[in-house]
Amino acid sequence: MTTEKLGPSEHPPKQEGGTGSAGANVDPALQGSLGRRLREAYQEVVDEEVPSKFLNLLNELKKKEAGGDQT
Amino acid sequence: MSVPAADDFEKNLVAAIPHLRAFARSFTNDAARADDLVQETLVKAWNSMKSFTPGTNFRAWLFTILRNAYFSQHRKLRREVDDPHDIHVNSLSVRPEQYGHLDLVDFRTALGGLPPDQREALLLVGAEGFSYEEAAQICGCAVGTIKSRVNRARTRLADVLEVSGASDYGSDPAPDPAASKARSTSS
Repeated sequence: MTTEKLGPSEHPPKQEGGTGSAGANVDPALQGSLGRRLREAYQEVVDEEVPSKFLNLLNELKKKEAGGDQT
Repeated sequence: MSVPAADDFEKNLVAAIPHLRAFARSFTNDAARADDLVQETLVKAWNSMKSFTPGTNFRAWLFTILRNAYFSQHRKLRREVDDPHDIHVNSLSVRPEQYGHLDLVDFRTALGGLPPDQREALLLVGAEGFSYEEAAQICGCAVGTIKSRVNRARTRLADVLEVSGASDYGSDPAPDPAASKARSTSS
């Protein structure tokens, strides 16, 4: 099973620098694990193949702008 | 005027599409609708190319457009759907078939169960790698609001997951801080 993910990158996104505010007290190991899982879940979607309709759309936009195709 | 050349603009736009799709999917579990949203975003971005300020985060700019597009659509949709929050169960949470790990399934479910504003803040900062400031700009709110949403999201996820599978968390492999750096600054 190879899963194409980010790899086990682990640093929590940004440190809050100890704002004592709402619930910053998640255990660091758990937070690291959460961060990794979050990126994995998100990256799965990012890694999906981009349907050609998007590139087609951009090509159309480009053509229009070039003044060729006025619809 | 240093408007970026259309070619550069297009190149950056193309590079951002997978991220726009992922972000859109966090708003709606309807993949087709998410893609419509991305297409709308591309058109809007293209048409307002000149309003992008060079040197600022291009992806953040695009995310802002997508978010605005979503919420203006959403206002129309609200008339048809009772509780908008019900339909926002995030599609990041409904693809468990790819995972043998129960804990990842749990994670996706937990993520989908977060309040939308918290999930959004967490994804922007934790998954996309935006700074708190950029995330605040995208969401049109204060930096402190983003921080507190992210904190609450983390706490909530931790609570949910700790209850359902605490034993897993001690066994994570050693950190590799290098890997996730590159993504946030590609604009």
